[in-house]
Amino acid sequence: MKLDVKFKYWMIASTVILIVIALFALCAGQFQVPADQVLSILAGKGSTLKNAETVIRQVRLPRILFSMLAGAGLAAAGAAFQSLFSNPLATPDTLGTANGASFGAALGILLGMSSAGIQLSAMFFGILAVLLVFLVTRTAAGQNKGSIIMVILAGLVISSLFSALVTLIKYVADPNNILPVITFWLMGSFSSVTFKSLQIGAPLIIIGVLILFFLRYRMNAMSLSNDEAKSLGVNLPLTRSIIIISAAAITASVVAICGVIGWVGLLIPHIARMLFGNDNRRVLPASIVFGAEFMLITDTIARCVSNAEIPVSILTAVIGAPVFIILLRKTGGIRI
Amino acid sequence: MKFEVKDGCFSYLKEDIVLDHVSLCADEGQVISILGPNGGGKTTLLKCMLGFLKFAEGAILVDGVSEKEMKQNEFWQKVAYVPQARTQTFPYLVRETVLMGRSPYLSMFQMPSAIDKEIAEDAMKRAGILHLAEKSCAEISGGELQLVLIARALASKPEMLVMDEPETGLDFRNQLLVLNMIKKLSKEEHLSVIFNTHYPEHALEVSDHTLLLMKNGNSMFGETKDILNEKNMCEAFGVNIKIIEENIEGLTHSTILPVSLIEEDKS
Repeated sequence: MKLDVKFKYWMIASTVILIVIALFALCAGQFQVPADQVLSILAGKGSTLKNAETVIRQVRLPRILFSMLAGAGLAAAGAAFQSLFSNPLATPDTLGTANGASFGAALGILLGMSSAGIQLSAMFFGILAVLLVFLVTRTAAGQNKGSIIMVILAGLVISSLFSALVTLIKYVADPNNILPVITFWLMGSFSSVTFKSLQIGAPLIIIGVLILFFLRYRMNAMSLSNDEAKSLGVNLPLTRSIIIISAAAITASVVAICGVIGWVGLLIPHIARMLFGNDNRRVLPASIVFGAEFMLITDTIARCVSNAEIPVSILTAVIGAPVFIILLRKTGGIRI
Repeated sequence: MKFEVKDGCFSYLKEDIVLDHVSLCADEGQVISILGPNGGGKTTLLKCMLGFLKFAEGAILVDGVSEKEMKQNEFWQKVAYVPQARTQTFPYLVRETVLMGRSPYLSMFQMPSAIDKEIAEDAMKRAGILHLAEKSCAEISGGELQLVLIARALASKPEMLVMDEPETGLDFRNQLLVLNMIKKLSKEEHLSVIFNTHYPEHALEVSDHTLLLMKNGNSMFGETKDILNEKNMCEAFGVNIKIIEENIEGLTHSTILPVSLIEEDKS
């Protein structure tokens, strides 16, 4: 029971810390706004500082909200996929959603779509990728029908297909003005998040995270062998499909709004496992909170340390790797 | 509970018959052992009985009702599966693993309740592993892990256990622990147990009836001591066999000596 108590205190503390960091992030930036002004703006009382209200409400608030959602979503999707595939190396992009969405966005940029058009195109292709995976899996005959290896293999195939298509688009794109846009976009950044993009991206992320959260106990049984999971009364095809579609909706939405962000989906669930063991009743909620914190911190650093924004994917690895190594040394990896 | 397999047939490839009209019946409190050579279809039969594979012909009856007419959860509340002890990819605590046995009673989005936790604790007591509750499944021995999996099965309050080679890979002491557990569950708690095994001695020790699988999908089913005689085992395993009986403290124990290979007819 010790573990459950530790988990409870950690969750309470982490949620408080998350709120504090979010407030700090609202203040921080090239244009600094004092905390009392931020609170007054959030309470709807306005500010005495010129432009402060616009910066906070139109620029920082949507960006901060979306970075937290993206981090929580990617970490939850990663944790879910790790259990689903009984594989510690699974990430949210394992089934090709990220590459599908990248293709959709690159295509949108190439065709000169509006930013909403690019986002919708990315979401469409991200979800299309995972539907194709289902289609390929269904064609498997005999003993392999419905086996998880078939799903992973199909994911690999679809993933590399879309990756090739992204390369094709980069190849034909105008190297002077279109190609840099695509390349920078693929590196991932929260800089263009507005309330409009929040409206497009947030709903599917929130729904996906909620579904995964409520399915968390089933994920324990899913991580065992197929026969064991069935013998525990799990409806395998149905549960598996729900998890995959939820994770795909999350990943496609994140990629659609802010590009490809690596590491979070792999790193954060493992941090949760090292601290609280492998039971998904703890791993999933912890991943959601830690994911939100990690993404928020990384993005705040990305926009504050220099005048030019640092692509956030670079930072997730640069910050994530040392954090991971320190934890690995302290806890000795996943033992509990 | 009465569990029956009637004329089950199965083959992976059409020309290669694995099970040919196999029948068996387990009454309440009975222990049934399944023996046969490697590739004889022991595991296949087990998978068919549990619905992981589908019989091409034949039926499975639970208290006279066809398994096809039962809801998944209904079936798994009566029948529990004890797989071979393998390391988990993501090792859970012993108590978490045992608690998973309550899953057939939970809906998709439901969390286990305090009552489920009590039932799981009781199952750990019955399997004699309560002292391991807070340990990780990666830190306990193979024998202990097998008992954990039995406890997980017991947590679903089943009327029958189906065990896949429960004593394979265990040392003498752990083998006896598992066998005694099977005896206790059947005789004292009136559970039916069906188990696969490579050891005819163990079948003679604990089982009431035995299904002996032969090559080409043939099989015979009956009282263990009638089925596991020298002649039948010679035929099933292709080995000359001698059964030696020894009376120790009023109980007869049998040991089986594989003497020599029977030359196969290569034609």
